[in-house]
This record gives sequence, structure tokens and C-alpha cells, in this order.
Amino acid sequence: MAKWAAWYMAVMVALYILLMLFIDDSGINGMSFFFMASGANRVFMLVAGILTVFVFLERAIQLGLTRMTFMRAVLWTGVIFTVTLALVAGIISLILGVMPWFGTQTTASGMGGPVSMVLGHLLAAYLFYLAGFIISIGFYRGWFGGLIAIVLGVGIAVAIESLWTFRTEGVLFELNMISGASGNIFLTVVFSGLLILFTIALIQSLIRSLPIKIK
Amino acid sequence: MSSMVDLTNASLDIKKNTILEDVTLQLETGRIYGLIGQEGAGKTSLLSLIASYRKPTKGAVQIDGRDPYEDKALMAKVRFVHEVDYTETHHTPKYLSRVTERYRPAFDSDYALTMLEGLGIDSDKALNRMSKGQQAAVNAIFGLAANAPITIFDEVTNIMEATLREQFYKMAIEANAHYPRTMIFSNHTVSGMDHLFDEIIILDESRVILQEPIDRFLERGFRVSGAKEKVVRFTDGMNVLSTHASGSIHSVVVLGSLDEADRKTAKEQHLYIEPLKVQELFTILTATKEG
Repeated sequence: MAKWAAWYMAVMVALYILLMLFIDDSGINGMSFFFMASGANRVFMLVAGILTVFVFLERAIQLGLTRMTFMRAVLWTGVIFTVTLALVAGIISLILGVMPWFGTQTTASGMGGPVSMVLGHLLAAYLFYLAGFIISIGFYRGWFGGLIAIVLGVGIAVAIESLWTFRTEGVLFELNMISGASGNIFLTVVFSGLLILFTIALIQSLIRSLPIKIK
Repeated sequence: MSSMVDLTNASLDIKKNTILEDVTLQLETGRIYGLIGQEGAGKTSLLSLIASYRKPTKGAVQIDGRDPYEDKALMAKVRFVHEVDYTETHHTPKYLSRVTERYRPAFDSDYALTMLEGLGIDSDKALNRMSKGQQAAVNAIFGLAANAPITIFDEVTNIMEATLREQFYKMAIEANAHYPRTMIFSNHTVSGMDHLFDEIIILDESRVILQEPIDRFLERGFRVSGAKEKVVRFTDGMNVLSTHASGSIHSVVVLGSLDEADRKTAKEQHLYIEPLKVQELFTILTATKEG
């Protein structure tokens, strides 16, 4: 997964540099790398989550690990990668930000400050990863399980987007929650945490009885 | 000797299909078992229950008297070697041995790499660049090197070349002598594997129809050859399954066992008695059951 992340980050940097150099738009040109990467990171984490079971589960069980150990490893890997991707994106953003050709704007106008932006980004990226993990478990069971898992995954993604959209603007759904949002960062973090715990409990109950299929 | 693996009336249903029905088995440490069954008989599913890949729908699977499903200590005791697709594996056996060592403390990396060298396989070559036979050999050798108390090989030797396969069987016997474990070889054909087994288990149409030591199993049938009249007289009243004539030599396959008096008579009449091969007996027994 580290290799995938390294490739992804390299491609994102190249894309950002090309955008900044060849597109003449004040909105885009003012955007920092971190701002652009934060949305893409969620999609990367979702895809990484979707691949987990298909790529690693059979190998893990062959190595004598239980499904629960595998699940814990996947959850911690998600935490490490969510934080690392944000950190790397932040560092690259700082380095590029000192050069005259690149923007430094970390949040969109009318949204919260950088702290809520980073917090929202971390929590949302991790939940997207968990949603991908659920979809992966569902499809590993079979196509019908996969369809149900997609509904669950989309529900989780909508929930976290809805919680944070008033500060970060939804990347996938563009839901306008500003009017209904409390604006209380503490409550938003608490509800995001509860959503993560709910999703982990769901994953735990789904993976416990997951049969390993041999081709 | 203690019973390491116990299956008691274990059944497995997948969707609406019955894959295994009422399977009862006892497997002991230090013995090599041959699990034979036709394609689709349920061999892999049975092994999946032992390896905790699946949970039985009914009945129980126990290792050391406990349910191994999601039991950290017991699942680590099983190494289930089955066909693995290495087409996307860019790693070398050397790298994989380092990774395996991390998760399986009993894994003997030096042994694995030495055995691979003995088979003429380059441990620094990426797996996806090896032939299918070599990939299967790496998979099988890693299974042996895991030194797991329960080691299962499910049709892994089928795509190995004959020489590689023979060498591997020799290594398996040596490995089991060096580090006694419960070893299971599963296949739909066991030609050339007879010498490996201490016990035979036959799975037919989702059920275990037989589990017995190899010597007792081989007593279930024999081939008698000699002059036609003498063979016909000798086998009169026996359960003759097939007859084959080659020149003046008449050869007959009989289902059943011989006592000492029969053997003495055969010797006096210059009849040649030979045991049937495991594969022959398996084919006969499953065909007889169907008939």
C-alpha cells in the first residue's frame, strides 16, 4: 500500500504543477496543494479500502492470522495512511507555497479555518477508507452482498460529507449543509468519531463470518 | 497418540447446496493422510473447515479439543497450502520468506531456501517470472518450511513436473520425520503418491466413506495372474471386478482380502498375487458404491 500511496502522491504533485503552470484561472491558481489533495486523498483512501480484502485477506489467513487480527491491521493501516498522506500533502504544500507560481489558499471562502479543514479532511478520508473496506467485504461475499455494501458505503460517505461539508464542501456530493449546520467544531468531531465507531462495529460483525474462497 | 484434529458430524451448506454432509474424522500427529475424492466431492471444502477458511453449518471441528475458528493460537497451527496465482507477484521467494518469518515464528527460512536451491529454483527470481511448476514448488516448499503442526497440501503438486514432484514428496517425508506433524495430501488422483500415506480418507459425494490405515486399505483388493485355468479356479466364488488376458497370462482384479491359506494355495499353483494401487482401489470402491 505504501507503494500505491507513493505513486499516487507523485501523480498528484505532477498534476498540480501542470494545472498551476498551464491553467490561467484565479480560483485554481490560488489553491494550495493541500487543498487540492484533500479531496483526492478521500478517493484514494476509498479505493485503497475497496482493495484490502481482495488483495490481503487470503494471504493473511494463510499466514495463520485471524480475521479479527486482519481487521485490526487494516484499521491501523488506514489511520497511518490517512495521517501520512495529509502530512506529506501539507509538507509539499508548504514547500510549493514559498514559490511564486503556486497558491497558498488552504480553505474555500466562507468555510472554516485551517484547523477544521485538516480535522475534517482526516476524519472524512478515514471514513471513506472504512466505507471502501465495507464494500470490499460485501463484494468478497458475492455480488448481492456487494450491492448492499455499496449502499452502506455510500451512506457512510454521505454522512461524513454532510457532517463536514459546511466547512470543507463535499467533494463527492456537494451537499449544501451550511444552513442546517451547527458550526460547532467540537460536536462535529464527536459525531464523526461516533460514525467511525459505528462503521468499525459494522465491519467487525461482517468480517467475523467471512468465508475465505479458494479459486 | 493424541488426536490433533477432530471433525464430528460436520456439514457444510453453501447457499442451497450441500457441500459436506455428516463428516466425522480423527487425524493424529505424525501421520500423513491421503484425502482422495473425485472433482467436486468436497475435498477443498473439508480442508477449508480444518483451516478455518469456513465454519461448518452443522457439527463441530476441533483442534486440540477446541474450535479453531477465529482462535489466534489454533489458526496459527494450520498451514493450508493450495494453488495460488502468482502472476501479479513481483516478489522473490527470498523476500516472501522474510515476510513469512515475521508472522510464523516456526518458519525455517534457511530450510526453505536450501530446499529451493536443491530443486534448482532461484530464490532471487521474481515469482511471476517463474514457470507454473516452479511457482507450485515454491508454494509447497514454503508450506513444509512453516513447520506448522497441521500442514495441508491441496492439489499443489498437480502442475509440478514429475521429477520436481518426486523430489518434493521425498522432502515431505523427511520433513515429517524431522518435525512430526499432521500432514494431509488431497488430490483427485494419487498415482505416484501411494508411498506417502499412513492413512487413506475417501470422500465421495460430500461424505467420507472410508478412513483407514494404508496397509488395511490395500488389503481390500488384489490382482492375481497366471495360467487361465488356475486363475479361474482360484478366484471361483470371489468378487471378480475385471479380467485381462495377455498371451497365455490371465490377470484378474478381485475385491476382497486373502487369508494365509489362500496365499499358500496361490503359491503352490504358481499364481502371482500383487496388491492394487491406491488409485485403482479408489476408482473401484467409488464405482462399486455408485453401481
